[in-house]
Amino acid sequence: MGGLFSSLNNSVEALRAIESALAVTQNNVSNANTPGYARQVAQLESQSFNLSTGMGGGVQYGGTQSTQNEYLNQAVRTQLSAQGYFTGEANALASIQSLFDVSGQSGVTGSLNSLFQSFSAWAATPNNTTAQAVLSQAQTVAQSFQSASASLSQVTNSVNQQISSNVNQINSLTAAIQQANLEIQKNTTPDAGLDANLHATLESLSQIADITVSFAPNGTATVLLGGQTPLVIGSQQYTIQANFSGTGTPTIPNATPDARILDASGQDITSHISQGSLGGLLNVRNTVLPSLQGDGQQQGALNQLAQQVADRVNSILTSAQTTGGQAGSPLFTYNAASPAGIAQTLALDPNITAAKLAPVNPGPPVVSNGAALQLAGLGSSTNPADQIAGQTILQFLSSMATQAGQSASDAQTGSNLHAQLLAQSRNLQTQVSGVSLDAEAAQVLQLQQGYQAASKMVSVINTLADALLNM
Amino acid sequence: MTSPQESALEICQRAENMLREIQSGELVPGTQMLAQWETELGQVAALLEATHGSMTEECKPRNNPALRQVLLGIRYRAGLLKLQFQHGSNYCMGLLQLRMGTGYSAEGLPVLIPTEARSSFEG
Repeated sequence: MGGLFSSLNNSVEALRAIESALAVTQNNVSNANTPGYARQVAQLESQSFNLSTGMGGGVQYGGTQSTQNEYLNQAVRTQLSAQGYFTGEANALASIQSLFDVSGQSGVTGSLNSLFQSFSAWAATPNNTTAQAVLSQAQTVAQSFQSASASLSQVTNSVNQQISSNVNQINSLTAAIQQANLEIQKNTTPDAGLDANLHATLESLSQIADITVSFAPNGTATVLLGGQTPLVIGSQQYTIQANFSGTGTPTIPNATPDARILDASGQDITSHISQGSLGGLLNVRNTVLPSLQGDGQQQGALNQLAQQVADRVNSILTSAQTTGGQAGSPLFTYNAASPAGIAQTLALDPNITAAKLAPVNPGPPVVSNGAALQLAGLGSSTNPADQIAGQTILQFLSSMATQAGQSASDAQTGSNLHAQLLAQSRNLQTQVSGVSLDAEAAQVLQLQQGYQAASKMVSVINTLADALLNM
Repeated sequence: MTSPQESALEICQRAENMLREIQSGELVPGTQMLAQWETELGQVAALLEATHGSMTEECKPRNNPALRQVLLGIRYRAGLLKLQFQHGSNYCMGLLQLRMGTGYSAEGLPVLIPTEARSSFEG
């Protein structure tokens, strides 16, 4: 009876074994759409074959192995970081690009063109009507500079918020990695689900910043930001923070300070972040925006332009005379104590009136509309005193607008390019590590056919045993 | 396969031992193991067929209780193995239908879900 029970017990075990043998396949099928899941493969180990010592050969189950490929995973993370950089940059630059109308119909460009046209009309007919038109256009110019400056400030605030959000996401994701590391340390056997979570989190993190990942023999991940700053080492998380308050004494007073990223000990690690959406945002915040609105080190193109226009118009008008023979008055005013705030404070001089606008160049020789003519040609004047950095005012304005558009266009092109490179890396990764339902199904079908063939062979044995018993 | 000195009883005992080994081997199933078992089951069938062809009157099971006992054991083990293999086959078909299929075709085969291969890494 003992033999019969043992045999039945053995059969029950075998029935269970069939199900456990398919556990790997079932797990793969269940996780076919789980982000970061790498196909698991059942390992079969060969057994010794030596009939004289009773070793019958064959194979035995040797556990499962993940198909994660760190080289390919790193390639995907690198492309995610690069794409994240350009996407972050493109989104921020799109709002700057719209501030500078390259067609010259609106904004600062449009208002300056209109001002020069009004100077031209005033030069042709210097009377109260055309002088009033000049005042009106000058008012529009001042407002357009203020508006552009305010818009740049809004973009700056928006980018600041995005940088803070990115930093919070980094801290949140590194906390998840730290938790995963703790779980991995507790586990005695590899957990495919945990592994999938960890890799999906690392990919999310690499979209935000350029990270370097290394794995300890026990499977825990060490994550460095920009290859230098530790974010996670084993069970330890190192948080980072965003800072917008600036440091030291700026060369340009009252300017918007650059954004900084500080590590857990308060060290400035901004320069370590060159990729990912955070890298793109930092580039816009600390390079593109200051080149326009200024920072602690530079005045900014918009302020340079506002100052040059105001200074040159005022200089020409105050050197000229009114038709009544009085000295001319300045047209514009601004806060000279704040070089990075000139566009923001540019306004019409409160004392200016149409009668105080001086069109006459006192000479000698006296030219009745000489100053007005000079103002009409100011935008295209090649006189070094009228130029900014070797460019005429209109050239400078055009290059500023083109540069903003070009940067946005370059960022979009970069984003598209890296989307393609990412797709290629992903394709390679999925070929090696992804779950193919078709492949899994083929494997199950192969197993099913094997069982079916063996079952038929057993039927033959049964028939033969019956035939022998009936002899 | 068989030696002239080997009796029908010894041959059948060998066949039964082979079936026992296959039965215990089924604890670690896989496509390679199944191929190996199919070969071994073929060998068992060949042993039984050879015994059938060379059976003398005094050796026949009705005159040889020991041989009859072994043959009953073979039939019993074959019954269990058939059950196990059928279970394996049904389990695979069920898995295909439940987890990877949308139903059965007119021929009784699972109809698989048309899938995009390797979707676990497609973000």
